[in-house]
Amino acid sequence: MPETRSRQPLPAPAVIGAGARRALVVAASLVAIAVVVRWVTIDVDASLPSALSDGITLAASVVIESLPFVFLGISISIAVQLWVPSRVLDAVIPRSGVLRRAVLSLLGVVLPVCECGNVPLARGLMMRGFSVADSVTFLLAAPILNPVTLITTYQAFGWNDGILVSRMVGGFVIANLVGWLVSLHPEPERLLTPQWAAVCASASSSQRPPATLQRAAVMFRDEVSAMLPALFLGAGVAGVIQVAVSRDTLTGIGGHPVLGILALMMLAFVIAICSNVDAFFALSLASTFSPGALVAFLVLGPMIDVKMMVMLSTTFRLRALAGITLVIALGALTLGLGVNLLV
Amino acid sequence: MSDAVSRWAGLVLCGIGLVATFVLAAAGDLALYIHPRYVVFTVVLSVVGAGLFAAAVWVTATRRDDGHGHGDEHDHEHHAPRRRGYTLSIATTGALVIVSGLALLVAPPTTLSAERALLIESAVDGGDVSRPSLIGNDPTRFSIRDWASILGSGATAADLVGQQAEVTGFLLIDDDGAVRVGRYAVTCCTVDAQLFAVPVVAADLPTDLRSGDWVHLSGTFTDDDGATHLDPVTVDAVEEPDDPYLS
Repeated sequence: MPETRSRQPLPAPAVIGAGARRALVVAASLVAIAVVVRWVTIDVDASLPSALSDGITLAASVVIESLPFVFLGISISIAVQLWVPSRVLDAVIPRSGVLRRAVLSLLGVVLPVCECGNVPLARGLMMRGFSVADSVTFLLAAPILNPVTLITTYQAFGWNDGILVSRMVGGFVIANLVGWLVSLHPEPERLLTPQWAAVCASASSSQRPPATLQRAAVMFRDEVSAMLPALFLGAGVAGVIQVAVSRDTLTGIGGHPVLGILALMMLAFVIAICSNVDAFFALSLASTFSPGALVAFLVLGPMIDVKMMVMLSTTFRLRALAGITLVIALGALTLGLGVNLLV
Repeated sequence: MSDAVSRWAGLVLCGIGLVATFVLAAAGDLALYIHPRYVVFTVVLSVVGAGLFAAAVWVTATRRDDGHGHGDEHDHEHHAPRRRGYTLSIATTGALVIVSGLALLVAPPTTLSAERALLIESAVDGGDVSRPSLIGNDPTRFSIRDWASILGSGATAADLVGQQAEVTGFLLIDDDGAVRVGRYAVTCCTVDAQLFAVPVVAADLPTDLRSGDWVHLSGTFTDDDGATHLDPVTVDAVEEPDDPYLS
């Protein structure tokens, strides 16, 4: 340990071993090769089969679109873990229970990250010692209860049919419901994957590390190692589904008050679009679907979809994930039915 | 996962994503995947990501372990693999890296295909772009989305008398010979692309055109068997525009 410490401030060539130098040269060469390959192939006229080409385009667009949000989420997560003093968080957030989760679900107002970036951020909160229930509540609520999402929803729907209000209130209630159910679990750590639970346990039992750039780099690496394989895999799955299952099979169901809700929930799950702009997409469905179905789409999509499932499987056991998904789905269905009854 | 493989795999995927983003941005092709309004955001955050990526590669290459806070995360590469799925997980990770590299670095970026457009319903509502008014606007500046939403609102040829349309899009020729001119619109990324299409009088088209060919049409609207169709006066084959998606 002491020798490691003494090495830290001196990234001078003398302390880099031959192996490390080789690794750096390999890394730099790989980046250079990747740039050259991309530059050469960017204008090639390849005639791939259209289904394959579309699948690649769709999956790549999910990655290209989500990646900056993941970087943003990881950066904020690192900043919260390293540079926000505990007393600030303690002063702002109530101590326990329902009130604490209610305040946490509004944290998205100051940390406007959509769902992809929210996964590393919620993991960062767990590392800071927030309970599983607190982190889940934040994870589910923040992509809906943040200014960008609410403004785009307002631009798309205004105050029509109570869609904006139902989305806000419904998102808040469902997130807090899931959080409350998780808080009832006698051993919430058992909801987490063993690897992640171990990381959280060791992070909370040890002293807070000094905030160095090196520490930030290690945290970034650990987080991309967990998130990016999941994001890339989830994007691939989303691309394959989009090619294999025609969107029209779902949108063709149309205005039925119950089936329409289920169809749009299914669509939200498979299409995996960003919560910041999904209102515009929902608007294009407004002529064929009931307001309740649109609300269910707008509440379920930001909380869970096929890409989020893969990303969250880095953190939660599959059984816990299935339970959370089920509660969200039932909540969204109930909300949709309620809106259809009232509007 | 607590081994060197998963660390490097995460960094390699990060590198693939960053290189793809930067080269697409340099070539002006990012709009093939995302709405132009996100281009600046994407590039700025990718620069931040690239800085952290470089630091993470440096730290991973030059240091054997994390030191602080991650007591159970030391390298295990000198120990026998603990988990049964170890080989499987390495194979999965390797496959993911290779496929991601092929998809993001080797496959040429392209638009969604016309074949896909033939399979899906076209939208009749402009979504985030409201239907333009025919009064006080220059109709030759209307896009395929504008015309599709005007027709979708029930406008007939009689309503559109004297309206000159000038549109650029790709041809969609159905099995039964019905022809439309279409264009995708994107609100966030290509995953949410929606097709807008305007029916075209097929008889006036050159016969050598195929589905997917980009054309510039100008003409007026006419009633064709009870449906409103664009009756082109000129049909020019054109290159795919730099901004193939309406935004």
